[in-house]
Amino acid sequence: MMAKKILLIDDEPHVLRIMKMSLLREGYQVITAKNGLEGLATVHEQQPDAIVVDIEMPKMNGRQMCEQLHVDLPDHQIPIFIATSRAEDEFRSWTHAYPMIKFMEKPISLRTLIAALKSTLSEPLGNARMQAGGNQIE
Amino acid sequence: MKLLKFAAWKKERLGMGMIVSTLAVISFILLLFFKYQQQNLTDQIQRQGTSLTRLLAEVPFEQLATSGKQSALDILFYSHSRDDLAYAVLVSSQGQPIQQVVSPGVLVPETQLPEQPSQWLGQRNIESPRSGDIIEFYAPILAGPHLKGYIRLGYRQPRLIPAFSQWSFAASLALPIFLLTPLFYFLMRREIKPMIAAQQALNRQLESGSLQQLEISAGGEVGEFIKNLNSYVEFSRGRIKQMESEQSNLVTSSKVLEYKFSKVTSMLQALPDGIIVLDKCGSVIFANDKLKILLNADPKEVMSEETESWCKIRSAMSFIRNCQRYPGLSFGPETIELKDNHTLKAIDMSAQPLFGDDQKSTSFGTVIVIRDATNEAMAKSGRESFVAHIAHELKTPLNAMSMYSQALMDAEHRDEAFVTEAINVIHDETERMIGLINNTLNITRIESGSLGIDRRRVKITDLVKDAMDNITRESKDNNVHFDLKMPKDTGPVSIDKNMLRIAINNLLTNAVKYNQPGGTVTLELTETGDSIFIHVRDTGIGISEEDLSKVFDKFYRSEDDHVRERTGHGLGLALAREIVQLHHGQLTVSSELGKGSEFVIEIPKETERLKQVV
Repeated sequence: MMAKKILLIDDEPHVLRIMKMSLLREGYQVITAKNGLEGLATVHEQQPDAIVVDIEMPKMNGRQMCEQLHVDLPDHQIPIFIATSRAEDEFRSWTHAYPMIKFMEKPISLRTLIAALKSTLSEPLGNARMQAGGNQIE
Repeated sequence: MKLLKFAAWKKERLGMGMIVSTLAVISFILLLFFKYQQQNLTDQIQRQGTSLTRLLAEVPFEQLATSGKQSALDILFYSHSRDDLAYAVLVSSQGQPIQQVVSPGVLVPETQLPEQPSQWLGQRNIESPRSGDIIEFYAPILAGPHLKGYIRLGYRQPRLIPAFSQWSFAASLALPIFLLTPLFYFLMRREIKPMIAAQQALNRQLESGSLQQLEISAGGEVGEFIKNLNSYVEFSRGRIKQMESEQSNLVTSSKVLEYKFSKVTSMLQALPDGIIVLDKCGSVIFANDKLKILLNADPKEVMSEETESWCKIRSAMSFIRNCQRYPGLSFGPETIELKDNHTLKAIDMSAQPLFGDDQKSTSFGTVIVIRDATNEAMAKSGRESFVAHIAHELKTPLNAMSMYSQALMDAEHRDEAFVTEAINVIHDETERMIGLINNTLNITRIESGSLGIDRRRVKITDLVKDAMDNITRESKDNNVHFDLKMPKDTGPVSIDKNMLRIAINNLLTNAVKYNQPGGTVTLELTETGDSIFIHVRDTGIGISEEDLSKVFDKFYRSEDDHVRERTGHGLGLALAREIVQLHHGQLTVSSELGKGSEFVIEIPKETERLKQVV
């Protein structure tokens, strides 16, 4: 089976590096981007199986990227994990229209991230499950 | 004047009336008198005519028929004392006149003689246009059983109005009656004179508009009337006086009320808040001018129109409608945020019932106060976004630290290179957090005013040298060269050493952080007559023109990748500028992208500051 391709988008180099390192060890194929704009281009180029994206980024933030992605690919089934420092309802309300989005509150535990990715990607109905319990915080 | 003329005419009319009525009375009396006299005469003629006719009927026919001066008829005629005998005629049984005596101017009327013996004796009235009305007595003259003829005696019917010669008696009767008229008239005039005087006095008072007692002396009924009139005048004057004083009290109290009202109104107008006062039915009875600014509503419309039509702000409208619907209840305070062209505006609305001094059982209205809460809302929103920034800025290094520490715990990651990397990252991020926390604390304390500046006269060269030593020591692994340029000594400056050290350190840290590998950081101290300048120069990535104006904003970080590769929190420069401004100096920046930047702190010398103060 081909390794699942994960796209990591974060403007913090340290964070990007350690996440990449950990996911590579788990056997995922990892691609990275430094901001939303770059991330969006990468999605189109490389069609990742899952996206982990920071919310606060220069040029295009995580929210703008998700919204643009839904404009570009309205029927896409790519699970998106959003890393945010603010996970209160008022900061999440915009994702109600996007069942593929899941929130992860900073600081993110690598183990939790890996477990979430595994459960989402390994199961054939992973996407559907995410839809059912969409927008939950890990 | 008209009134007086009318009175005079009335007065004359009274006299005329009296004369007319006296004349009428005289005429009536005379009429009765004449009527009586006429009746009397008629009766006399009746009696005389009847008896004389009968007497003559007894005289033998031949004797009567004798003509000449000695005839019976002549004797009768001329011996008759009355002048009302018009004629005496002896006629034959066929009606032919045989002998007659006639008064001058009288024509003996021809008449049909009676045929029946029962009608031979009698009288009749004859209307004669020439001789006037005549009463004729007739009787048969018999000779034995034979009718020889008739004797006719005609009398003039007595007239109602007697001849002029008889008027003297009537005049003597009428004169005293007539003379009584002026007597009565003058007596009456004398009696009503006080009344006329009273009337004239009243007229004068009416004209002058003053009400006085009438000073007219009169006796009897009129005196009584004037006395009553005077007491009525006195009573009226008392009432008028009372009413005048009541009216003046009313005017005074209404003026006081008006003054109080305008005072309250001007107070309400002067308040910085918008005020709407509702009566107990919920209608608007007052609205001040501040509503123009706060609700963009014209107070005149507020007072006259329905809330729905003047209040365009939905939530404000429903607040006011609630107050109108439930008068006597208090509402709010409710904060309403209005987004107008992306500028935040907010108002606080609250409503309190209005109670009288005595008790709190019933309210007589509601006052709605609308306060501009824009500053609070902005402060709140600023505080919220500040806290959000801090949370984000703290969680970002924490995130990296958390991930690296987790990885370290994992046995698979424990190769030496990774451990070194992890320790470095954790150290860097810790430093970043400490810097962020310190800078946040300092900036908050400076902004809230709780951090006072402790200004002392110091050797600025020592401070600059210390700062340089510090950064050199901290950045020995950074592959950056340091260069310090300064004169041996400078003019006196009075500064807060610790705070200025933070500012210089922040600039130096940035100069190292954003430098190129092998680049140089230069710290230079220069001096002019007025100021001391501290230059921090680097040979780093530089700042774009777009970013140059924003680098001192709190939490601002360039979107440039070169900047984002380096850890930072966007508070260092903001704090440095605050500190320099506290020293009455200024912090400026110049830069060229890709070549480096220069930050310059200018601090005015003490002498210069003294000059400014003086």
